[in-house]
Amino acid sequence: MIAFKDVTKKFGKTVALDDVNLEIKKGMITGLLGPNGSGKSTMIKLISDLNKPTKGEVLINGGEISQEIKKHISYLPEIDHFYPWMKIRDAKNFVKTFYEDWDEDRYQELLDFLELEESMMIKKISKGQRAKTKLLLSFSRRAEIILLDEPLSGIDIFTREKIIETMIKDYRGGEQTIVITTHEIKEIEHVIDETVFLNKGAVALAGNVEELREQQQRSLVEIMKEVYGNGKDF
Amino acid sequence: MERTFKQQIWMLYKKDVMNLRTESLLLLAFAAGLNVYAYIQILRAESTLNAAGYGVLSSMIVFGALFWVFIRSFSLVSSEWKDHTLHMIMPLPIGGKSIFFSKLMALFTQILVVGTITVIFALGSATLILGLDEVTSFFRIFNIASEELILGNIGEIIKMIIFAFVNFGQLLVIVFFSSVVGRMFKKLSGPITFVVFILSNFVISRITILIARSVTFDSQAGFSISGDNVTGMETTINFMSTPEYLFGVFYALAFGVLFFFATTYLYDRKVEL
Repeated sequence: MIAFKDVTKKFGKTVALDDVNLEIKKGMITGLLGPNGSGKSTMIKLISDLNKPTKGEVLINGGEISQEIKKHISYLPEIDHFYPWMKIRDAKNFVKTFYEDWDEDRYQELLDFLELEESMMIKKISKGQRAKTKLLLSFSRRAEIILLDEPLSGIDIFTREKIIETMIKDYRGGEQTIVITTHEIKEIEHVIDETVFLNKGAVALAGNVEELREQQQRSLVEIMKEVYGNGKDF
Repeated sequence: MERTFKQQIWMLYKKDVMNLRTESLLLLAFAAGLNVYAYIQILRAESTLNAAGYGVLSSMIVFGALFWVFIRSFSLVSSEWKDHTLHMIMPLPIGGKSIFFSKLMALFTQILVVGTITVIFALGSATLILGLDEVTSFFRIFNIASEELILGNIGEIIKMIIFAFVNFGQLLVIVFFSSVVGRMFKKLSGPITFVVFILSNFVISRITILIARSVTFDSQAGFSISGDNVTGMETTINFMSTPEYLFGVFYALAFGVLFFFATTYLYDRKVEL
């Protein structure tokens, strides 16, 4: 379980997260949804230790984020983060050196599934292929926690489908926790178990997707429109 | 499969060497080009570049290449932010000690490779221009063969190399420290890095001078090179006394280690994206 306890995160005078209290359940797929600047990426970065809370604490399974805990986290950033000289093979060799949960068979399987080749130079491939490469490296690990920061951003519809398929392909429900931030709510609505709507650094609404749908008798997109005033903030 | 600490350090080191590879090759190509240019100029009868001028130029090429390595050490750290590769490094289950140790080793490798090859270029083209006898005479301080001089003073030469490496290492660690401090600020990180670098060196030199003043060095004891001179008399060149040498090595190491740990502390606890 990932817990945010009274977490405030400021960047200078800008408040990215404002006194957030939240529990992300273990073994489920949680969607962090919200407009730009709502604090989605900041939450992901706090979990992956790229940012530190200004106030409060982020706990994973009851403990503070440490090197031991980081061994079990797989983080996929929104931006391209590979070294310019890296081929897919180099990136794989780099990542697998640091994580004991690397699964070579799964890597080979995903490489075929995503139609990538190890000899591809990452800086020379298309944006969609780079998004797939990031996904390949994240999901080739049997990590307990997978953090996906806007994996569908700027990606064409076919690649998006492939990415979502990869997410659910070998997902180990009850065991593996996936946290995903995205604007593409329609596309992930059928995949996520839990949702957190963020607005201006605060939790506007959170809960189980099925229960929310049942309670409000509406789709997630319609609920979201209401939360954000008919989507005018998007 | 269990990943060993050694494998992780090796992978980080390999990554940093790869980051420096292209520019090291460009630097070497530039140094080779300059040597060839000097060689061609000297061969031309009307050239104003004489042998002495060539000696100055080739020395400048070697020191220029080493200076470039020093300048580049700033961007080896800051490029992790600029190129967003810190997103790959920061989530890793390793601490700042491994990350900065590998960077230090990669820069030492670059210094060794670039330094050795530029010296070879300089000696090679000097041999072509002036002939082997003339070149070896540059190094014949004493009336004995160069190899004899080197072998007879191998211990002192190793001590000199250690001295140079420890002091250069300390300088690189201060570069890491100032770059990390600079990167903790979203605005003006470049000027802040520069100011922190200057201030750190100033503080270190003040402290070292203060301590050195309170210590008496035996100027006779030698960190020196000895051999018979041209008249057959035994001659010794004293570079610095042994206590001075040990003092220099100890303080460069002590400040290097201190700044290294300060850098890794800041990286582990304060650095953010």
